[in-house]
Amino acid sequence: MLRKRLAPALLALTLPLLAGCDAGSSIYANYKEIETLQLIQTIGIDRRSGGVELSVSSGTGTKDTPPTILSGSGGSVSQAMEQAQAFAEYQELFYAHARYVVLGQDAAREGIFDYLDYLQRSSQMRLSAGMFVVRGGDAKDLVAHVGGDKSDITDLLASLEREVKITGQSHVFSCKDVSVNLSSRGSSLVCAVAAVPIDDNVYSGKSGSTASRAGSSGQQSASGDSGDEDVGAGSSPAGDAGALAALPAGYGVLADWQLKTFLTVEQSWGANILLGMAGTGALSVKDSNGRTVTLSFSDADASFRPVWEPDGSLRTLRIPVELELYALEVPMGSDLSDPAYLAVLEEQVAAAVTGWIEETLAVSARLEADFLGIGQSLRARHPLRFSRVSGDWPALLGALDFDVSVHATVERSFELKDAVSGGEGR
Amino acid sequence: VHPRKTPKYAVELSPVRLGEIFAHCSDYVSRELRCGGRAELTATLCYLDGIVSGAAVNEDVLRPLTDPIRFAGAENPLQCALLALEGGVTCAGVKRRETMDDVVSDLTAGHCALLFPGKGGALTFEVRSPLGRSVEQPNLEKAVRGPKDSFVELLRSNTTLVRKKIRLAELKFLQTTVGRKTNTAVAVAYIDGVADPALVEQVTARLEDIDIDGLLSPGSLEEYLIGDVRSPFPQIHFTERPDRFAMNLLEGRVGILVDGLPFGFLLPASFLHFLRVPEEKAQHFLVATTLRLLRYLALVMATLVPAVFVAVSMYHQEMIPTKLLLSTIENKQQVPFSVAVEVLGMLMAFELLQEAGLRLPNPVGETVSIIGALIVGQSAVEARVISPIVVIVVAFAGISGYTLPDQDLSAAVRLCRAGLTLAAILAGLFGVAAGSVLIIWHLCSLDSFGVAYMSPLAGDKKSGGWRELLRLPLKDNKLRDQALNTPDKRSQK
Repeated sequence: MLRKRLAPALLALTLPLLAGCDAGSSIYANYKEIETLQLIQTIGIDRRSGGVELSVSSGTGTKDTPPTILSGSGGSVSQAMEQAQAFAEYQELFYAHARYVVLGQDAAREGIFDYLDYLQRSSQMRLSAGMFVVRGGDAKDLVAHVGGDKSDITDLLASLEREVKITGQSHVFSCKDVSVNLSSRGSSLVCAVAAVPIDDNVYSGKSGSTASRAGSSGQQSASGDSGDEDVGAGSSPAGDAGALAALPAGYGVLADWQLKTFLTVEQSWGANILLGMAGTGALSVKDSNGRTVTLSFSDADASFRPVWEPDGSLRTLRIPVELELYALEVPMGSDLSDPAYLAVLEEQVAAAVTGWIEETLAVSARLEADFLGIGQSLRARHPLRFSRVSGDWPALLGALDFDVSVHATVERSFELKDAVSGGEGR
Repeated sequence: VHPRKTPKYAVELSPVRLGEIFAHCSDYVSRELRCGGRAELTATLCYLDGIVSGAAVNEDVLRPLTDPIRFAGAENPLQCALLALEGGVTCAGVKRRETMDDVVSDLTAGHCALLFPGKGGALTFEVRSPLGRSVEQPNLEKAVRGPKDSFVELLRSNTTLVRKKIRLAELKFLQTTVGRKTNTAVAVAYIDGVADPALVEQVTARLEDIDIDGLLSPGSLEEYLIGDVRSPFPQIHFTERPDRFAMNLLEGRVGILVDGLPFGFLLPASFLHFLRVPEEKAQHFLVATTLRLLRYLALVMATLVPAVFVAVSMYHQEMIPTKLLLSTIENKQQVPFSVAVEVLGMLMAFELLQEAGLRLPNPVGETVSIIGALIVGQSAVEARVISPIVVIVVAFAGISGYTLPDQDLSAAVRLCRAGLTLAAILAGLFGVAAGSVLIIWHLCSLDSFGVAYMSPLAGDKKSGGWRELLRLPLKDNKLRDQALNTPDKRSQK
């Protein structure tokens, strides 16, 4: 009888062992005093003379306490963490709530496998953390110099993440997404961010009034005058003592676990249209009178349609794209009910987007990196035919002809008088 | 049926012996009287003052007994006793008694006894005093839409209340007596043809087996009836509402009414049965089902919330949302105690406040609750003795516990809550999981009079399954609970 009663109790006591927990001094050795924890919300990783430099930021507390920013270096991520911990005095750095992992450009170019491997093995780290790569700079610059007493890099990256999602300029992929893409496709996109001195770029009147709004206004010109390949590049922007702003800088392209290149903001938008993440960003075009009309995306649909040759080979890939936009800003006197007027706008949109997509595809073909997931799409729709040609898919991708056709429709274009009179518009 | 297996007063039936038995009983009254006014028909009338009705003794016993015409044909005490038994005395309840034990038992039950000399034996007349409170509204089981009457302390009043609900000859009340010294009357109520005969037999047999001094509290009966007394979970359902009692009889359960207790016991009981409220049948089925599901959720939260909070705060901080964790850390840095001490202390303070509120008279109890809430809820937080989040967690669990309809289940949940919190302190979520498994295991191993306690979730008998979990439209609920093994399976066409 006694044995019968003891059995469940003993069984229960063995449960902690199932998790591989140390049952030495206590039943469960994962105890942490909650008040001693120092949450780390952003982790910056840079490559330093054969080792790793780690920069971490705690984020601002709920009572607007200033963020804690620490740095440590070592031969590996673990050693760098230990050094950072040494600076944390009585507090225990707690990485389980890390929202963002920021990779310096050099670190990413050398290879990110080691870092992703650590993230996956660590019991504290979360693979759901969003990943950024710094375009033309170090992660430490962003972590240490972005924000102030009431905000830090975490807040600004969170703001940036929301903005790029809305505008469709890029997308913040998680560490898990990047790992899965690199493992399955051999390449992946990663959201790029640039560290720009605030004095020169934010308060000079070129853009908006704050760092995040200036960097993510989402408005682009069809003439492509904002695709700055070298934004933030060159010497470290932290060389000046002033604070930095974090601006969206398109995508970084990872292939073979290394950063290969960056896509411009327009190319990134093109990539997002192909990936079904066009957002609702604004696009400025010229109307028939040469005046600026601003349109906003409402829907985008793209598909990959292979043109199979009689011998079963694949040489051409047709990419029809359907876009729907609505008028956001229209100059006075414009006649949105005039089909000819709208046709001019639609043609310009189609031409601009065709250019972005073709440039994006060109990068993919040049690098032979399928970061758009074209192969997976074809395999899903044409499994038998694709299996015959997919032996060396990266090389085939590089040799493919892309036939991009974009059809844009401007919808929901109300006139002010329609709204007043209750008209339905177009 | 007398509870004693052997006679306690194995003496001859005589007024002298009876007087010796009731010696030093100031309420014992004994007087001689002449039946029909005849000296040869002298008998002794005995009763206990107070528990008999003086008016009934005078009108129903004394007046007929002294009437010369009624007893004109009696030639000896024996014939006189027979005449009285056959209608010479107008009292409705009259019994002929041959042993001293029976006479003593009747006297203590509110009868008066008429002892005849020689072989005349004794007659006892039921002239019980109607002393007792009137039928009032239930205190614990408030009814918004439903009958407002509740059981009282008199057994006969309670059987009447039930009989008024179920006007059926098949409604049976098997009466017995429990308690060597209290001789408490106990009635087993059931509907013949609906309740499982084996269940009735089992309940009756267990009542017969009870051999205790006194039956004065519900627990005295419950602990002797249930199977596993070590389980903190209630295994007999109490109700103070006759409508609920009657409803359960109609479902095929067996009820027990005890003289002196304003409750009815219902058997067998199942865990889910304790989460039902009588108003459910007066509500729209969607509303009733939603509220029932809410009570299930409240049960889980009342049991687990403090334990899970302790576990994630001490061991699994990665599970706490970032902003909540930040807020918790900032508040916790001002507090000198660990999370474990805080939560255990708050749970203890909560229980103390609850006990204080229950035991004190109503106005004082409310004052204690208010002062307690202010001290614990506000002052302690402002003095940074405890964290606000701990107050919220314990209060949330407490409020969830209050939604449980049964006080005994609520007490069991509070016990489990404390146990699981200790398990969480020792082993985090693993401890909570292990503790929960043990509790579920224990619940599944219980049975109440042959019916699985976790029916319909566990048990080998077929039951209504998920239909029992919800409150379906009454029209769709045509069958009685199959776990009760009722001879009549259908409750409606």
